[in-house]
Amino acid sequence: MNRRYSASAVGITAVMAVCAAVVAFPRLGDDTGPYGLPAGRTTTLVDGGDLLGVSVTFYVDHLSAVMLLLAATVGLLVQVYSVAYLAGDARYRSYTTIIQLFLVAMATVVVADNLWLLVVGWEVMGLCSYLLISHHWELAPARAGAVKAFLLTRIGDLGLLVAVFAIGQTFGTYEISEVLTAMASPDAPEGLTAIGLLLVVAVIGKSAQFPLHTWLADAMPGPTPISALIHAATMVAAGVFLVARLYPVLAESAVTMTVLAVVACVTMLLAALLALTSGDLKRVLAWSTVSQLAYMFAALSVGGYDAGIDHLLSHGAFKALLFLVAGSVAHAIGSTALRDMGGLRVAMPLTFLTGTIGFAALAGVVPTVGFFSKDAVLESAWHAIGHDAPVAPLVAVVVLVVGLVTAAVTVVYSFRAWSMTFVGHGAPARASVAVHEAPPLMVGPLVVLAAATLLLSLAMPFDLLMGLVTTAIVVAAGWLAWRTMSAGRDPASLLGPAQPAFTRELDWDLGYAGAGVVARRAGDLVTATDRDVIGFYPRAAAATSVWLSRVLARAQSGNAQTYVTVLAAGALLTTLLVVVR
Amino acid sequence: MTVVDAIDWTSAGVPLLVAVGAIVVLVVDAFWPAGGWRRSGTLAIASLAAAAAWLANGGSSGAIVAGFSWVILLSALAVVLLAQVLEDDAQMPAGESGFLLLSATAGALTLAAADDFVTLVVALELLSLPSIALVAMRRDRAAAVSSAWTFFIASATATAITLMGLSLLYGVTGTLTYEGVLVGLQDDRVPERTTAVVVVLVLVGLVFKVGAVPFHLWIPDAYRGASVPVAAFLSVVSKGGALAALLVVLAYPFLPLQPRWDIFIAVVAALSMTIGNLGALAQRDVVGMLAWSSIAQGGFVLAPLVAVSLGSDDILSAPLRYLAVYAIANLTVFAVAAVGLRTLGGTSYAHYAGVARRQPLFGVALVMGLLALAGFPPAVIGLVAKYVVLQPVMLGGYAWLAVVMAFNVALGLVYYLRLVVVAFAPADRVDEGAVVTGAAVRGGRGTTIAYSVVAIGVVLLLATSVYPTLVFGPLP
Repeated sequence: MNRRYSASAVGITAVMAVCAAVVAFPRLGDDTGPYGLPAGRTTTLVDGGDLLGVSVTFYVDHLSAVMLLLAATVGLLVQVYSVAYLAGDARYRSYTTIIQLFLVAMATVVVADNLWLLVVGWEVMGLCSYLLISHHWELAPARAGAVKAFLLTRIGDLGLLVAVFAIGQTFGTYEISEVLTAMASPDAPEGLTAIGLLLVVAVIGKSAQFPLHTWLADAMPGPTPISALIHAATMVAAGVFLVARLYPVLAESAVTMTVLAVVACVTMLLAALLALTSGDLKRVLAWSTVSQLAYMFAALSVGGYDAGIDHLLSHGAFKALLFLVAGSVAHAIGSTALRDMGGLRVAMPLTFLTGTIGFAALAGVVPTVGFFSKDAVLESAWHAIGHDAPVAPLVAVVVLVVGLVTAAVTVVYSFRAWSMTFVGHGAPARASVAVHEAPPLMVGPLVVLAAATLLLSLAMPFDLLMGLVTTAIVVAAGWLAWRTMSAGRDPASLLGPAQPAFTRELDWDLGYAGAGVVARRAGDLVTATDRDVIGFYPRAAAATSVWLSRVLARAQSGNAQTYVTVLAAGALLTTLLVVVR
Repeated sequence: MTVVDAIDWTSAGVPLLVAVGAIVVLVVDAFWPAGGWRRSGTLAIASLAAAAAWLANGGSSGAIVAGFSWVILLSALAVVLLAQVLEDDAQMPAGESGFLLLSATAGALTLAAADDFVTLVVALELLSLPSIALVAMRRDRAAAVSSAWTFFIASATATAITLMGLSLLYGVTGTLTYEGVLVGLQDDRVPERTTAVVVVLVLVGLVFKVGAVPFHLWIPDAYRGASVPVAAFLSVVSKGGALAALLVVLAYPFLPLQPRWDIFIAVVAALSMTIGNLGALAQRDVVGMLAWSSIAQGGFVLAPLVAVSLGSDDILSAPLRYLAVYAIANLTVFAVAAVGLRTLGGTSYAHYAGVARRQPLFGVALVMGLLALAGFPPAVIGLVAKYVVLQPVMLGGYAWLAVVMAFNVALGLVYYLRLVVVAFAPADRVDEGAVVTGAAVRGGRGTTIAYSVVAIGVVLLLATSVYPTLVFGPLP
């Protein structure tokens, strides 16, 4: 491994992080809240004018600042972590470069004012995700996972593309700040349900929500630091960011918000149950990411804008921590399967300590940041029942109930994963291998993120009633999980006869495969039509063009008489054309 | 009658300084012939710089004319630098080449600045005759002499037709100044059909220099016979001067007759694009491809003229803006061809197979130059230029012409991209049918200077693609 190269990779990322901080810090104090005139600062680099509405313009507000800082911090920590994690990897150079490209794309998405610029960043993020998932392209699961992630997110991207066109048609502009200004004015456009639903499709794809939820778990063969950066803290959260960015446009329609709430509720509980039954530490974390993203969408759908953003930030910190802990464990024992783990608290004390803080935050234990931000989400659903909200009170009740149930499931699967990793006696197969703590470059980021997981609590809101309720849930569910584990049974067995179905992840991919067969048949038909019927015309045109081209070249005889004759005849004919007209 | 014979030194200064430079180059070479290419080049650049300084101090009659003069001067400068590549060629005399290049440039500048039809014809001849001599300069090559001969015959015919139109015009209006013609043509007693004939006949000479169909047949022969820098000159400077005169004539004295001539321009533009692109499809030689492509580009640059009568500034400057972008892109590709002829041994596609892998600068220059001509990203500037000429056509109500243009953008992409593919493909995978002949020579200092033109062109294309205002901002 080239030591100087790693130093320069980390250095470049650090410079990018500093730039992001310089842009972000002045905006952190802005008023939060989605409504009203846009409070951020717009900057125009290239004004495209009427050239198809494409300009290079930026809009930085509180939301962008939070996202920028999150992406830059996690990006830098992951880059440092990867120096040790990928030491000796043959493709380390391309890996670090793609991370930098990803960070640039993510920054573009969060600061773009022009929607086309946002689309470009959005697509580049998808590309980087694809490339990084397939980093170990010699492994079949990595290739398959990358293709699946790419294709499923493309469905969402299509929604985004159409939504951007529709916004341009409706508002007459592609600038986000101008769209928000139009929404804040008294004569704001109405009937935005179609745009809202298209945007929901976009975020379902990017944030792996039901029914496109399976790609995130299958993206786990990628390097673990990438899972921490792209598939937990930043890219998948871009869907939440998009909803928050265009919040007034979505909140205008109760239908859109109800659809978002239903999608979030289904995803939340489903993913938590899948996390409970998974036998692989990284898959547990992936499903829990899907579930936590659904919490954010749920908060946004019931009008809890600040709660959604706060949970995004807090989840970004503790989930990046958990993935890096998983990476540290995998680095030590060479596997991510839970059955290969156990008893690691002795050999890896720092990883154990930081991992415990991470799992506590995931479960929502006081005083971690997860406790406060999850309470805020549930509190916003409670608040929406009695007050004016984008959705009907009944929907808010459903969100609250599902949120509380999911919180209980989350406690159980967090306890299960934590206990199977760090407690117990360890797998017998591992006895011969000497397990030791991760190198300092990997432990450093863990400690920083663990500290953030605790310290960010200071910035979070607190509601006593909801805090008591969730703490009661944590204690009850934790006790249940502890009893089950100490009786020697897997908490997954609490699902009873449904457990095998969840272990197979509900055979959801069979549905995709069926859709794939139908799509392929239809595609074959279209291709055949295109090739044999429509394709005839371009092919004939091409053949004629080439033939004409040869004729023209042959007419180039070099004979002056011919040339002058053509010239004179041309002059005569064009004169005639003008005269008789 | 006021003093019409007084010379307008402000506008005459620019061509005059270039013409004086031409004579100085010739005389210096006659008495001290040892200086060679480097000295004639230095003198030529000095005179072009003096003309540019004069122009910068307000030496022109209007913003559009000034814009054209800038494009002509800077393109001539690039051609003079490019001509340094000819230093190894014993058959090319340095002094005469510099003299003829500068004389023709003076002709192009006068053509743009002319204010009456007599000056116009004189300028047309001042541009044509040195150009023909430049093509014929390679005395050792029969092809050069014969193509100069066809060029001469065709050019003389075109000028004769224009003169016939002018005599009719004088008979109708009794004057040949632009202003007088503008007034005279609004007279109701002039039969409409006569004026229609007049307009077409007068325009033939100018359209001939632009190289539009059906007055294009000289172009492929002349480009192939001439040395590469001379072909570059014909494609940019000569075309630019004629286009400037065409725009001024159509927008000023002939403006009242727009319903008559717009169909002429539209048909000629559509034919040029289509036939130029079709001709380029079968070419397997860089210069031959550029010859046909310049016919097609002539069509694109003529097209916005159909909307001149709408009179908005955007429409009047559209041909100028397109010409500026075309000049940068075309000169870059010609510079690649000029250097390639020296260092690769030829200009056929076979010589260029895989060149981008060995010389990355050539690769970038070909990608940016050819795609700018095609109007395709990453050469965003080419795309913007296509939009600039397409917009007036739509505004002018010529939807069918816009469709032809769109079709031709697609057609052009085929052969521009082919050369890009050839340049990037591994040498053994390219089958262009030709056997590489001619040995590659190690280039001297002149080649290095020409190489710098490639580099400058690449920088300009990249910079303007990121920030199009860089080229469109200073133009009117």
